[in-house]
Amino acid sequence: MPRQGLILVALLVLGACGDPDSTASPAPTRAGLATNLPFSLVELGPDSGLDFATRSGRGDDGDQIVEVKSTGIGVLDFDGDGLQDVVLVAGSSLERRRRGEPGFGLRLYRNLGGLRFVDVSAAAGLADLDLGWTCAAAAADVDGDGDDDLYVTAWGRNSLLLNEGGRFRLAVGELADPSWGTSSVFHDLDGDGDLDLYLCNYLDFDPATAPRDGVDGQVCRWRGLAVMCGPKGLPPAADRVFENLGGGHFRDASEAWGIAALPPSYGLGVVAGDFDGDGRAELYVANDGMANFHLERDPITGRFEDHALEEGLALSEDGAPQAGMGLDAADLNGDGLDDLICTNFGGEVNDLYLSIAPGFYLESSAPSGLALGARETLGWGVLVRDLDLDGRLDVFVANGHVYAQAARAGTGTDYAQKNLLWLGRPEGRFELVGERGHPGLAVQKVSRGALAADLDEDGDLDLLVCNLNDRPTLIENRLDRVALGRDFLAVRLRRGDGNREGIGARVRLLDRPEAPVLEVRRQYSFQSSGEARLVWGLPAGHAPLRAEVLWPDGRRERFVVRRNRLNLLVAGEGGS
Amino acid sequence: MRPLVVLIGILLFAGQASGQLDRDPRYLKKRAERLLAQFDYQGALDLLDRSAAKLPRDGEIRILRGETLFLMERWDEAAAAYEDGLALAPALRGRITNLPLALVRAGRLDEAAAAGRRLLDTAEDDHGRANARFIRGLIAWHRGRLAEARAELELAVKQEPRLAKAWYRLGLVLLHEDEAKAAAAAFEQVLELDRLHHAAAHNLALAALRLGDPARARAARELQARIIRARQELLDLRAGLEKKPKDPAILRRIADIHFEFGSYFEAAPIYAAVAAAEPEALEPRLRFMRCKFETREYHEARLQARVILERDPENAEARRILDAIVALVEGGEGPSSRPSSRPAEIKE
Repeated sequence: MPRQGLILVALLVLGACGDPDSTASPAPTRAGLATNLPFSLVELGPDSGLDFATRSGRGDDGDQIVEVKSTGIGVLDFDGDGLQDVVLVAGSSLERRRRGEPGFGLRLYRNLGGLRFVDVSAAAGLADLDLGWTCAAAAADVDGDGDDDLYVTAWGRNSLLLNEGGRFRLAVGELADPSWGTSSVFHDLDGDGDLDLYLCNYLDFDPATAPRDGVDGQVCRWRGLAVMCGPKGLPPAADRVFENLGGGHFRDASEAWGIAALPPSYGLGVVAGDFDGDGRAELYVANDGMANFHLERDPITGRFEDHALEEGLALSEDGAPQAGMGLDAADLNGDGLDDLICTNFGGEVNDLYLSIAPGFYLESSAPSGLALGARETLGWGVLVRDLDLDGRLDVFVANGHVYAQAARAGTGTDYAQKNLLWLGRPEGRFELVGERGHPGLAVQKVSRGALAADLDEDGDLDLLVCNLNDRPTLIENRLDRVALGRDFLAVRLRRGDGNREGIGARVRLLDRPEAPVLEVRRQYSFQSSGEARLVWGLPAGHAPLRAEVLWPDGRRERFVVRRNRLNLLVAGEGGS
Repeated sequence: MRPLVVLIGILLFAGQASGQLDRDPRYLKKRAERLLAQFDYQGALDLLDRSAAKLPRDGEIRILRGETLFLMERWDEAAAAYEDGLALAPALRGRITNLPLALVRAGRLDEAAAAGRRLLDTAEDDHGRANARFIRGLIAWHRGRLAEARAELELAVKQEPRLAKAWYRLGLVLLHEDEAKAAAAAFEQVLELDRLHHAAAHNLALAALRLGDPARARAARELQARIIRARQELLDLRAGLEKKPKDPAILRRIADIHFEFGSYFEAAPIYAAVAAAEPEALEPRLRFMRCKFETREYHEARLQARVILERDPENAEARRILDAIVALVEGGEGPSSRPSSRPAEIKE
């Protein structure tokens, strides 16, 4: 039995015995309607232990732009027990900031198994850290010592927290960029075997001088209502890239790698990967109300150049900039190349850019069915995963408005919104799934980040969503594989260099050519950081399968992988 | 004391005249339209709000308010303003194409479809019907109903072959239906009508790729890159124009970009303005002549050629144009625009 399974069994036994010393909450209850369907997404209540309400600003309806964007979520295995722990990111308030008080900081929850969590922030050394007005936490083993570290972005200085045996230490400030950082991504951008960092910066914001509706002739209106101002009218901030020098040290490579030459933009989301299959890392950056970037590295100069416009990735199908928020990449049309999805503002659709050849993308949200339901919501976090294990990738989007005024009658939308799930269907179509049978989709909050992770180690992917001024939404994927006749296949990769989890490696199932090629990535969505596990759904069977790993250094390796378990594929231990 | 009385009298008269003007819907509308042309949407909206309060039964002002809100991307409010205006001026319904578009942008597709239907029913001519068909096609597209979208868009371009936006959307539908050859033809049609349509060039490259024609795809991609650079330069130039209005060098460069892309209709009036500002310079007039020739306004082109040859009898290009026009006319192709008795007036 794999180690994770043993831990799970042990925890379940402990739970059943009612260990009086346990700090765990009782088994979580299911909020909303219970269902007997073989596939159902069910929200778990606060007694899962994830009871911390992340707060940003006044805590109700922020009237400054910084108050409505600052919440993120991530999973990491901080204690090396094989289970995915949860980190929640909260901002601060203008009053606290004015008084020089620390922000609301991070909360770290240890996964006890069985979808139960306990707050270990203090034990992990996070409670005493003043990290400012934090926005997101990206997890990866950046110093190659075998555990997950955290990079925390903030409105103000960002922080790198190195994990030393389950306690986090604030590292020296090479990554302490002072701009308003939003999403960031760890990826081997220069192909030298360790994880570099791309940082999205949003805008220069000063509450003392920020424009306000009705002041100095400023007009900030949305659907006739006075609302907070921005981002238009505020100076956009420049993104940054940092080269990993090893041992937890970085250098600012923005100038050398061409990032400083990009126009400052309202960066909110970033995803990295080898989208076009040429063996080199690329970056796709979502900019709010401005053209998105698609950055590809010139092999001769080593500089990243933006090709988004000519490749059809910068703008909407009509050639207009949209309010890009969150991103994910996955091979949705089965051609072996990654397609890209970008969430946008209400009234806009979430763009689906299908690759039809390397570097050629066709915006396809309307014909695919993904446009249905999207215009009425404001999308943030997005993930493309096979949630129902039917072999086709599905799309989940977290929604919530930026204007509290959206809750007023007559706006045609709402401040708190339901999250949306489109299930993959044949011929590249998607079908919007209602909340019927999925009480987890009936939750209506002001959602932001979202990620998928197998939190209960049962093979299917559960969902985590962070919400503004609220506790996160934990959605258990209750999938009866036997009833549905489906198997799962999960793999994690292991390497000996500075990219321990093989981030950027692409894996395909040789015996199932119709199965999507999956790439290992930790950061995607909006201000979210996921796990490095890859999960496929398959028709039930018995035969083991062969998986081919294309490692980031270009080597290919084949492994035999078994169904319905997590397979650990170690570089150098496979065959050619 | 007497001058003071006169002054008060003048002020009173001016105030009264201004008050009268403020009650004149045509005057108010003109002022608002001028502000809109200067991109001062909020200024225009403030003016129209005041006007609507003073003239509560004037449908046109409410519709212009709708247009202003549409430009401000306040879709729901724009839709409401259009409906208010149309309730007062129902005869205008067939002309208000932006009402269903505002509803599309607001994500209110059912209402947009109903508005599209009404637009089609009330359209006054082929152009109006083509626009309505385009909008119905667009709504069907957003609903993922490609066959329905295609039928509407094909009717739209049949009724109005110069409707670039309908050709573009039709191209997208065809591309998604794997009819790459027809899609490529549609995108080429768009580029014929709108030379700076970079999205059409992008999708033309995709269609060519689907047709297995990498050379055509590469050419389309190169065109797209040129368009993107040109559009960016145009944006920068227009920003420069805000700081230095009517700067002949900036105007000249804007006209040259349009000219280089074969956008002769766009280039011609700008060359005319430059030529007016620099009456001694022959080059802007030569370009103006070429634009008129390319848009088959031969009479105007011939008159411009004569003016040029009067000043520079050896000018080869003017001579060539003149000869070409004579040949065309002798060949049976008459002037396609109404002839004018003298060269088009070049105004500053």
